Amino acid sequence: MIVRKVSRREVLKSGAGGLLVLGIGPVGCSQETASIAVGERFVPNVFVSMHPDGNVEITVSRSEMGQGVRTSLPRIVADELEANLDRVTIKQATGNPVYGDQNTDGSKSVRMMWEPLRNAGAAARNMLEQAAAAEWGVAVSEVTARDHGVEHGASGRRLEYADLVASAAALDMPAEPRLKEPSEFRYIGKSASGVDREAIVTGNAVYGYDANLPGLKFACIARAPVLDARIRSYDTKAAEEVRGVESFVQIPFTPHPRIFAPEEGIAVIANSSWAAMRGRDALEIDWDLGENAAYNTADYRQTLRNNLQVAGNPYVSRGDIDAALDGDGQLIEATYETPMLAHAPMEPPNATAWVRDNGDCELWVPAQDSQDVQGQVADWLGIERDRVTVNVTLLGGGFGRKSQFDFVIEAVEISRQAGVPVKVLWTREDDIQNCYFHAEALQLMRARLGDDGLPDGWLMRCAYPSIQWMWNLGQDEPVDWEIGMGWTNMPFDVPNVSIESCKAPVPIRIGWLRSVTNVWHAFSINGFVDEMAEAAGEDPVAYRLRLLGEDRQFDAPNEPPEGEGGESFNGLIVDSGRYRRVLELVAEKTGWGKALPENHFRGVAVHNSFYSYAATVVEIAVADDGGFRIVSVDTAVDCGRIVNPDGVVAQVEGATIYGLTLALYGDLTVEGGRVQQSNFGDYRIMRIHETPDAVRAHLTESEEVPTGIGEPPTPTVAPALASALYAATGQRFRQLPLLAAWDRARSA
Amino acid sequence: MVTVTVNGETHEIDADEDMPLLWALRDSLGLTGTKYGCGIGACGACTVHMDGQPVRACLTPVSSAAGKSVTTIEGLGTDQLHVVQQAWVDENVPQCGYCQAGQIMSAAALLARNAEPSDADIDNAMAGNLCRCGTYYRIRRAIHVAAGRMNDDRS
Repeated sequence: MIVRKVSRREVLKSGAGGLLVLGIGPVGCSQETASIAVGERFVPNVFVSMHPDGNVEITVSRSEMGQGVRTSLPRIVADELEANLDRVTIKQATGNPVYGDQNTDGSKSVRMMWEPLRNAGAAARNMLEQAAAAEWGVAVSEVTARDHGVEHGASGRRLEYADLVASAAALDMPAEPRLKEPSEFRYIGKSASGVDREAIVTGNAVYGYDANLPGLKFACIARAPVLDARIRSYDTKAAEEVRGVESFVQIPFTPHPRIFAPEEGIAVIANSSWAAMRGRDALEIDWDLGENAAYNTADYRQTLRNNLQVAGNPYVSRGDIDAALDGDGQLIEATYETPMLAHAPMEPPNATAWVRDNGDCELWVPAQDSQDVQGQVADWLGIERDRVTVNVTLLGGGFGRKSQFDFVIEAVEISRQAGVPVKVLWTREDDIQNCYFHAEALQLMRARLGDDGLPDGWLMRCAYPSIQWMWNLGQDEPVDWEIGMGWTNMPFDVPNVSIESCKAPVPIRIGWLRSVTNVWHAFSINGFVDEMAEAAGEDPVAYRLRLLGEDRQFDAPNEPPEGEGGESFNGLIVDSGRYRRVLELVAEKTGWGKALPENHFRGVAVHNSFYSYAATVVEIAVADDGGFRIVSVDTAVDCGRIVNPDGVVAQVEGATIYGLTLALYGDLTVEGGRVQQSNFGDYRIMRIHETPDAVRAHLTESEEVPTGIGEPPTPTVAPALASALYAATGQRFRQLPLLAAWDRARSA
Repeated sequence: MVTVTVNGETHEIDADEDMPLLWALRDSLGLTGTKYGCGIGACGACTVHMDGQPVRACLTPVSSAAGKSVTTIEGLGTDQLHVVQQAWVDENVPQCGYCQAGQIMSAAALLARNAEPSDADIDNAMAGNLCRCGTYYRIRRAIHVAAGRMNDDRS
C-alpha cells in the first residue's frame, strides 16, 4: 500500500497550512483518484502531519471506548516515523470517508489499521531520511532516522526533523515505503499508558454528555415500550407544568427496515437535564402496543425449543449425519439456553445535535461508527454528507451499543424540528429497556460417539432471532455470519456433521453485544465437548486436544470474501494449531491436572473469535454454606503480534469481568412485550467485592498480523465457569445465568 | 435560589430545591467531571464530597448542600494531582474512564479516614462504584499505592 502525498492545493483547502501532509492510497491508483479499498471510496486521508517546528499530529480514525485505540494506533505511526512521542499530539478524526473505514467494532481496529498506519509513518520517515541524505550529499543507505531526527553514522552528523520538513515536502512519495524490521520497533510491543488518563482523572475528559454549546437545550424522550408500538394520542399538560420544560417534539415512526432509525416517541425539550427528565416522566401517552405485546420470555423460549426439534437449514453438511446418529455407540444430547442481555455501558447513550438554519448539521456524539453516522444523518436530513460534521467524543463504554445509533438520529430530528441545538439524555432505565438486545438463544446438540470416544456424528441446531432482521425484516432464522461465530468454523474434525439454523421470530429489537453470538456458541460447544469427554472417560483438556486432531488450517465456511462488499468478522482461515497452543498455554500456566485444595474445582473452555484464540481456566471454591466463590480466572490469548502488551492484559481483565457478569447474573425477561428490568437494582453488574481473587492474562508472543482482543476473551468465561460448577456438583449447567441455576440446583 | 460552595467557590443556583446536586454541578455550574450513571445511587459515578464525606450527587437534593462545602473531581487536586489521582495515572487504571471520577472520589474519602486500608476495607468502601470495563484490580492496586505514598509523606 503506497502513501501518496496530497497536492499543495489540497493541503491549503484542508486548512493544514505549510505542513508536510500525507494521504494514503492503494498501490496502482492514480494521484487524482487514490483511495483505500476498505469500505466506501474516498479522497486521500490525513493521518500524519508534521509542522515546520517538527511537532507531529497523528489523527486517530477509530472511536475510543476504553479499548485503547487512541493509545495503540498512534504508536504504530510514531514507531515507523521514528517520532519522539513527546513531540506528538493526537487528534480525533471526524466521521469522514477520507479516513477509510471507521467502524469501531468487531475487535478489528489494530488489525485493519496495522498496514495503513505503518505505511503512513514509514513513508514520512523515508522522505525525511532522503532529505537529510541530500543535504549531506551522501547515499540514503548511509543515514538512519532516530528519535525525531536523522543521523549520518559515518560523520556523526544529525539533523532534527524540524530542519527537514520543508525539503522533505518537496520530494516525491516513495513507491513502496521501507517498513521497519520488527527488531527495530521502539514502541510496538512495549506497554504504554493510556493517553487520556490525566484528563480522565481530573474530570476534564469530554464524553458525549459533556458537550456544551451556546443556547444548548436538553431533551429526554418517552419511547415505544414495545417493538413497533404506536402513539394513539398524548397529553403534555402535566409536563408543561414542570419548571424548565419548553417544548415537545414527536419522533416519527419509521417503517422497517428501520436499521438505526429511532422508535416512535415524544421528546420533551427543556433548559436543563433535570427538567427534561421530569417533564418526560410527566407525559401521558396512550400507546397502541401492537402485536409484539404478546411476546413473553417463557412462551418464546418454548417456541424456540419446539423449533429445534425439526431439522433446520443446514449451513454445514459433512458425511451422513442421520446414519452416524443412528449407529452404535453412546448417544449424547443437550439443550442450552442463554438469556437476553443489555450492554449497559457506564455512560448511557446520548447525543448532541445542531441542525443549523441553513440545514447543515453538527454532532458531538459517543459513536462507534462516526462515518455511518455521517451518512445516515445526511440521508435523514436529505442533504449531502459533507454538510454533516460528526465530532467523536470519548465513549464511556460501548460494547456495541453505540454502533447502533438511534440515539443520534433522535437528537438530529429534535434539533431539526425545534430549531435549536439539543442534547438528548438517556436515563439508565431508557438504556436497559430500549436496547438493541443481545438475543436469547436456544441450542441443541446431539452426538454419537465412536469406539475411540470421539464423536462420529455431531448435530448442532440453533434458534435465535437474527440481527440481520434490521436490514431484512423477514429474516426468521440465524444467518451465515452469526452461525459462523464459533459454530460453522469450529476447529474439530468430525466426519459426520450437520450444523443447522432453525426458525426464530423477532419480537423485540435485537442487535450485537461484545462478542455477539460467540457468547452462546462458545457456551454450547464447550459444554457439549465436556459432556462427550465425560462419556469417553477423559479429562476435558486431553479430550479437546485429541478431538482437535492434527494441526491444520481450513477455510471458515460462510465467511464472505474480504473486501468484496462483504466483511469477515471471524477470520477467513481457522488455524487449529493456534487453538491447540492457546489451550496448552493455559493448561501449562495453571498447572491443569494438579491436585487442588479441598473444595476447589476447575473448568476449561476454548474459543476462536475475531481472528484470535482464547482459552480460559476458572477455579472455584465451594463454601460450607453451599455458596461458591471464584478463586481465579486464567486466560491465555493468541491475538497475533501485540502492539501494547499492558493494553492486551487490560482487555483480558475487562472481558473477564464482563464475561463473569453475564455468566453469573445477566438476565433480562420480557412480559407483555416489555423488558421487566430497568436499572442496576434489578440488572446486576459485578462489583469489586465480587471479583475473583485473581484474574490473569497469559499472552502469546507472535509475529502473526495483530488481531482482535476487545471481544475474544469474553466467550470462554461462562462455559469455563459452568464446567467448574459441574466438577463441583456432578450436575451440568446448560442454562445461563449460573448463579440462579446454582441456587435452583441447591434447593432441588 | 440555593447557595452552594463548590471547590472553594460560592455560587447561587437557580433550581428547584429537590433537583439533585448532580445536575446543579453539571448543568448549572458546567462542572461535567461528575457523571450520571443510574440516577438511583447504585453505580457511584456521581460521587462527590460534601463536608469531606462521600455522597451520591444523584440522590442529594441541591438544597441539602446549602451551607456545606462540596468538592468535585475538578477540585480534588490543587496545582498538583491529588495523591489518589497520581496513583491512578501511574497504575494506568482507566479504560473508558467514565466511572473513574466517582471511583477516585470514593477512594480519596476512604484514605482520608483509613490510611492503611486492607483489601477488605477497600472492597467495602468501593462496592458502590461500578466499573463496566472491569478495572477493579487496578483500582485496588492504585489505592494501595496511594496509601503507601501518603504514609511515606507522613513519615
